[in-house]
Amino acid sequence: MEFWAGNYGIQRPAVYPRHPATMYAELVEQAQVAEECGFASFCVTEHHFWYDGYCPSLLTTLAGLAARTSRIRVHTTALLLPMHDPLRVAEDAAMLDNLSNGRLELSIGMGYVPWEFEGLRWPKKTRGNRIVEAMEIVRKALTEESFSFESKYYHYADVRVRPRPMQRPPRMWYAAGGVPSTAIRGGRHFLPYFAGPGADIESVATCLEAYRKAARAAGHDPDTQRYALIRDTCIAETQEEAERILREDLIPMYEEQIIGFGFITDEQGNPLRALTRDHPYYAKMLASFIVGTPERVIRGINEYRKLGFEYIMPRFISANFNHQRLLREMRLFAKEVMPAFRN
Amino acid sequence: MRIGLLYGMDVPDGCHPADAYQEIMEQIRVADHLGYDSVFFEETHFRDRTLCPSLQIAAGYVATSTHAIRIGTAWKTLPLDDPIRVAEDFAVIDLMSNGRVILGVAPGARQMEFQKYGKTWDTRWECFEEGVDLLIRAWTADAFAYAGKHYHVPGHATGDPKNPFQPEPYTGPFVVPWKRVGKRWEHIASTPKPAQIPHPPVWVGGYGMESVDYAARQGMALLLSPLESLARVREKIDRYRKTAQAAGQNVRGQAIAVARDVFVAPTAAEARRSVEGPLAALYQRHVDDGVLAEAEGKKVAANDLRFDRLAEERCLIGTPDGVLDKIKKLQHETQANHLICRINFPGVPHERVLATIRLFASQVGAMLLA
Repeated sequence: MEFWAGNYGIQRPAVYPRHPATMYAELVEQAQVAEECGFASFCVTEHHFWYDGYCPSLLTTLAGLAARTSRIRVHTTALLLPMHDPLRVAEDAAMLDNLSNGRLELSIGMGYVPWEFEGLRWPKKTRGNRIVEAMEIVRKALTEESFSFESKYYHYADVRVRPRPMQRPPRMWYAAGGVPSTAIRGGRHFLPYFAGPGADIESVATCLEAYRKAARAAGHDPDTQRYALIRDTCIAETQEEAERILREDLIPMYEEQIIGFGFITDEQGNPLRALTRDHPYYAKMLASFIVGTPERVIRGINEYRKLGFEYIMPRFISANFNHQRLLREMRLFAKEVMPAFRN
Repeated sequence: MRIGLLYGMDVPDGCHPADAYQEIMEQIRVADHLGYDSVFFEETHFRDRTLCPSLQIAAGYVATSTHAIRIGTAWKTLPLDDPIRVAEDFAVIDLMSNGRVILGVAPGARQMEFQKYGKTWDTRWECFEEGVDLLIRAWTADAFAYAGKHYHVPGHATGDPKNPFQPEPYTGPFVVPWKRVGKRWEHIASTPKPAQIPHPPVWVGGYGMESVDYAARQGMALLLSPLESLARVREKIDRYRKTAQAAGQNVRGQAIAVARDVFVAPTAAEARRSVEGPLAALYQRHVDDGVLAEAEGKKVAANDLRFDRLAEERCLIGTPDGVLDKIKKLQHETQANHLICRINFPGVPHERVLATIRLFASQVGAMLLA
């Protein structure tokens, strides 16, 4: 079993304002502590044009983290590939993989926020087809001596990406979000599956089943695939303390951020922007959090492990709002929870 | 005179890129401790031994592993990339480094790179000028729309290309973006903003005279490559001042940076022994690439590529005292105020580069300050 740390956007929202330079300095320390604690990778996440400075350049940030760590992998969760030129992503990745001594890992997401596509001038409508093609382009660019790719959306002829990466290619994941339709696309192309936060265990299981079914239909054996999952986690010595973290750090962040992004959607995939506390989806969102003592967290992780998830990212304090508390949570998790999952 | 370093990220034959990168990063950390003002990286794509396709990654790495040295690009080919992405990346690097970014930009010099990226070579100058405008707007403006000839941000923005920038008319109290009504996003705010106020310095590079004219007209800093002969440097800086004056721009406080190939050793013979071979190979590559002719504005005669001519016309090579005299002469003749030294030639071993960085700082840099 493998645990990942991080998944922060380096935000300073209205509920927790600070200077962003401080937050990038803290991020370096968080990555170093995660390395000490034995997490396998440290992750950062991407959005654009968000008022609180949400980190728009993952590989650049990871280059900064790679310079100050030596063992932990640096991981994009997720790089929104349909709004980038895949060739540029490949060049960035190749260089970072060398600078980090082969520690780069790429999770690739599709993106869903309309204004990000508009601002970066890529069509949102075609993102579903483009993510699969762009992942293939990145893979080809990072493994082949010289590659060409011709499709309706992308045109590359005899491109030699230099330097060649250390890993050929770095481990890649398909970040599937929380709706069955994206899971089905992942299954059809049999891409390593990475489930997002905010959905309760029933929804996670539904999406996973959809993925497995699609994979089988395409002639693949889903049992041979890798599965990863983000869970928002509040861990403390006592249940009361964990619930205080939930109340003070996690819920305000969710109410302002995730709902604002339109991350929580109804069955049709329409964002629920007016998500009040009595809405059934609010309860689902709450149910997706793992909150409590180390014993409770171990039980929670085991429930997901039974579904087949062997790579779990317990995301503490959801965004990196509260530095000291976050370091405490990471250390407690490493001390009390990780040993229970050593094979 | 401020002193910086220049890196092309050259990797010797038989050396793994990761090892070469680590050596370069160690040299930069040493330079940071010794008080060098800046380190600049050159951008190259699809090349076998010159391996810096991503200035953002190199700069991001340096940002957290150094304390005081400024981090520059020499230069970012703006039309190859999306100016909005460049603004975002370098804002993040500026924050990670506590405000140490210098963004050198240029319209591009190698057509092959444009072909592979599917960008139009012929419109690169127009794209460059719009790109610089867009970049600075993205760093400084609140929500805005931009409708130029080549760039539209957001994609559906409309307007007059002669006056492409439209600030958001919204003036009320702060409202989180998704609560502003409207299905379409009419304005975009690039975030986060950089640490430097109003924005990191933008230096204009490029081999042609157009770059000099553009920098002068805009009142921006000028960045000259190591490929240009002393005569050409003088000509360009002269033209820069005259054009700026004619355009009504005051460029007195602006940086005028000249990059040079630099090598010092205790004796002139030793300096020559160390770099004669590597230097010849390097310049042969510039000739093959066509960039040397472009920088010079005409074909360079083979005679000018002999070591003694190179040392006379283009490079600063010799004993510390000899190099110091040459730098003083350069400073006096051109009024350049920033010298960017390429000490790491392909083919000169790491230890020797480190020794030169140290020797140059103590024997030459210190004297320039005095």
